[in-house]
Amino acid sequence: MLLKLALKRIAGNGWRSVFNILILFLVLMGMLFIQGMYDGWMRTARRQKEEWEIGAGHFEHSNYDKYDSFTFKDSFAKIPDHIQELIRQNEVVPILVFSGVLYPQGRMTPISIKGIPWDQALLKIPSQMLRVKDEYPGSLPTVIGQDMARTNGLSQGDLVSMRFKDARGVFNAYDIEIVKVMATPVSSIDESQVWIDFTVLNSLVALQNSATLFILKDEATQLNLGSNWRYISQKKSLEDVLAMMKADQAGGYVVIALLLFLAMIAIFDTQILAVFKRRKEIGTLIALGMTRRQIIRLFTYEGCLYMVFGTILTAILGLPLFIHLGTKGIPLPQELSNLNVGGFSETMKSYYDPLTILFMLIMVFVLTLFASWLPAAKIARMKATQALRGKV
Amino acid sequence: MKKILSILLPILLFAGTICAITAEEILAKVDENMNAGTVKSTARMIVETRRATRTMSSVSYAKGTDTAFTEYTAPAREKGTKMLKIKDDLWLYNPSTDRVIQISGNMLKQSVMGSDLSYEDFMEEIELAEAYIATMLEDKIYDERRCYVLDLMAKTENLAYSRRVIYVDKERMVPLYQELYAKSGKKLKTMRLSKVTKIKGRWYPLQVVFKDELKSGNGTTMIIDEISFDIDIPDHYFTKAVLRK
Amino acid sequence: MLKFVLKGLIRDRSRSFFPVLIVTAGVLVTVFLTAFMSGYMESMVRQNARFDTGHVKIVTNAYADKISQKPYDLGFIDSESDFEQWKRDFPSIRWTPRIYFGALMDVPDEEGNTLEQGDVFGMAIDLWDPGAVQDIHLQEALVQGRIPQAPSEILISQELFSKLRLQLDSTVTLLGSTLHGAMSFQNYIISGTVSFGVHALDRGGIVTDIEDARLFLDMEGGASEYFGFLPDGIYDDGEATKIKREFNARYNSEDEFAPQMLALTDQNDLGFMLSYAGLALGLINVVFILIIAIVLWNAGLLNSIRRYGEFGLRLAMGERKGRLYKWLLVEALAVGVVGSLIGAALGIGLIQYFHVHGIDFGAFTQDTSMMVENVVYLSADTKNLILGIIPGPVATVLGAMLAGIGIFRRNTAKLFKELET
Repeated sequence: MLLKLALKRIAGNGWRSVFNILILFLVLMGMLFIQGMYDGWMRTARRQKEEWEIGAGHFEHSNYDKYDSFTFKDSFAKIPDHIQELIRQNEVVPILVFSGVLYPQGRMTPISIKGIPWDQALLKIPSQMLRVKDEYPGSLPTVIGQDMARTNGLSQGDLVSMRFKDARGVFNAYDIEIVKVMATPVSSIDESQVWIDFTVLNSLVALQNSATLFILKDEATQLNLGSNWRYISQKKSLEDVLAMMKADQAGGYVVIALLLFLAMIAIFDTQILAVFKRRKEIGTLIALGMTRRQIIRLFTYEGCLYMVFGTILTAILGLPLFIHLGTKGIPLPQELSNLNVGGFSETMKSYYDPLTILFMLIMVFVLTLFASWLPAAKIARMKATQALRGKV
Repeated sequence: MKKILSILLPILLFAGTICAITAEEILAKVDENMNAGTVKSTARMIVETRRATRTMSSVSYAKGTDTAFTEYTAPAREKGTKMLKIKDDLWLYNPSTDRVIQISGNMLKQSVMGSDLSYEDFMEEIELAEAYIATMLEDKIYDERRCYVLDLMAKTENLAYSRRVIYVDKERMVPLYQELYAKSGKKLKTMRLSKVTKIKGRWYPLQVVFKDELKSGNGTTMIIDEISFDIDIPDHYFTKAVLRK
Repeated sequence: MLKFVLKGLIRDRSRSFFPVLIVTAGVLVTVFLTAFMSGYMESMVRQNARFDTGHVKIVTNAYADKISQKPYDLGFIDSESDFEQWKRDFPSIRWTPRIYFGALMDVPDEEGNTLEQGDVFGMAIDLWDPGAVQDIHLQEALVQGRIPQAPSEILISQELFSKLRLQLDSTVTLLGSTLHGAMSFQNYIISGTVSFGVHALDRGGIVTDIEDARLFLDMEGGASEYFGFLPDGIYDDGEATKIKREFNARYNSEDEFAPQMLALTDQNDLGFMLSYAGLALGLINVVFILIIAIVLWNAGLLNSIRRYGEFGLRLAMGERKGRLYKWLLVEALAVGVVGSLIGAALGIGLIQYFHVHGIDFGAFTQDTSMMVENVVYLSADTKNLILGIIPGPVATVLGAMLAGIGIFRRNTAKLFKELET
């Protein structure tokens, strides 16, 4: 009964209702847009890290410290047999890491040399280009990242000398050819790094089938490699990236909070004026025997109905937009990818997590409830006789 | 005639043996010439960088190929800096900090005093005959001297340079030119030795130009102003105690 | 009339209180939001300017070529008289020299032999210049100990400090190479530890005085970069570009060690990033102002509708519709202006508070180390204020205007009747 009454009154309110619903719609859209963008960004960054660098998790040699190139000469071991089998099935990609020196324009530049099987298909690194057909080609085909190319003034087709010491301490050097500058969004496989074929690197450093890292396609649940290897879960690898994004998202939260505040003002505004305008009506209702609770409920229902209509409007008008943002996304200009921020390199697609959306809806709902309840609670306290006369 | 022949034959035979000197023998002679029991030398190193040419002076003491001690005497900034190498360890001492610092890890790859030599290169003193198998290539005239050309391949798989090509002055058994190669066959470094002078009965090159062939620039010149061989050097020169002295 | 309107507003609380409250809240939100947005952008710019780019910086041509490698060996030497000249030429800019360098830190045991070693990344600033110290928030970054007060005192990253198991006031040796590539040694006393929230610095960073670095790297009277900051510490791309052109026309030449000036936007793709972020933030601002305008308009509308009864009575008493309409607008304007003023005042108060204290996002970033400033400092500038205040009166009056049309549409009798309901 009350619901019906509330509905009728919303319909009767005309302008005001339209405005309220419109504002709630805009607020909801804004919140969803911002949150969707952040979630989308986060997912993209996470996916890119996964696709380019860390897989579903990885093992690293226990001596390996990616920040300390001095550890590289002791941080490899022969690939265990059961891993070998997984590599064949493309479940695991081995990577061998060595340190070396590159001489772009004759200036010594320390680098990491990374070997990845040319026929791997797990990581997005364009390893097919690394295939060496002759046994001793004039120059080694290598792939570098855009950042590495930029900082060292290298471009596709360039020949540059690279020197390193093999596992026994013997100097080795090659002219490498940059066969591809990959546009990778993940700077940790780009900066100061040169990628060559896994087998080739193994033979260049006088090793056989040895690796520093194993990138896994699926999370390692039963893989046991012994104490020589350390398992790094995807979650752990992503810690830094996610934390950085969370910091950025804090700014988004402020905007969302302000949006919510606005929505509250809007509802509060409508309700308070409605209450003023309808003092007599309320008095009449009380006089007719409605309890205070019922009055409050009536107004609260009204507020909630705004919310419901706002949500429906958002669903009708917003859905196409959000679906577009979620599937097609917003194309980002090339320059943004130069910033080397994970997730900022391709079309920016929003992502809408059902739980987050639900949480946001509930939050707006509760606030709407509060904003519409507050004025009603106040008015309901007055005496029926006074209300009838229209005095507050 | 027979008499003449009998006199000449030994000479001819002898000449023949000279002609047939083997690569190993040349290498042994070079080692003998270049390495002494002990060596004391005063030298200057001239380093060219993009901005300036700098000269550093030093006094060095060496015993065999394993131990060496160097003290820099000029310029003022480097004066008193000492470097001691014992086998695979390298220490530096600097008077202004009064600290003995062991050079390890990435530091070993860095250039010494901005030169084309790295600390690693300093560690790399070996007897050629011991480390390499030599093959004789065709003779060459280098720097107006007739030279044997030897191709040296590493005997073991853990030598820093797996191949060297060395030009040896035929008459003086002194290397005049050396090329150092990576395993891949890429030329990494060259050394040009000149000002070959006779000192106490042995020929010795008093000037060397080192060049990192991958790096741009003109290389680093080392000039020996004074050198004496097989002198008495007290043992304490080759202990860490000498650094702080 | 105005006096009468105001009297009416003050006397009839229901006529003034809530409308003013709504306008106040709306204006408060916009003022705060615009300040927050520009504060956010500024903190991004400031962060980069302070640690990395300056508002402008002077480097050598050769250095500029390899700037991402920070090759101090291609920096300036003996450039003090040049630097003085530059200072004279651009007196409004605050200049400060920097040197970035890499070295090996060696920790001695009791006998002075090597105990521990670690690679470090050094940032040398003019520690005797309070402005330069403030630039990198050194005081805030200090974890323990004190900022160097004597030559040869350094700060070291907390992370490295614990990794090398160091102690405050202990002596360490830096081993590096001079500008000429010669070996260089220097003893330093660790006066304190720092944590910047900047990954590269926190891993193995040290902060030294520029004079110590000059001595260490044999760069007498030199620097690898000279940072310049515009007056008020606020980046203005037009101004920076103008100064850059002027400087380069006067001093830059073909010589590889000739000075070259770079503006902040020339570095790290910041120019693009700023315009992009500016666009995005501007968009959010517009959406907000739009929503607020609707809310305020709505408020103005409701205000007037509520008064139909009164207007009916007044019409019946013989007041002209035009005068009544004008009355309504003046009233709305008064509400809008008063509300905006209160809102702006509260907004400024709030901004001032956050200007001093900043909005700390530390809770979100506790466990990480990266080049993101955790605190956004707000500042009220006129442009933001005006942008924030405008929707207040405008939207209120607009709402009243629309609502007032009803006065003309409805006839007197009907309006009068509404008085009864």
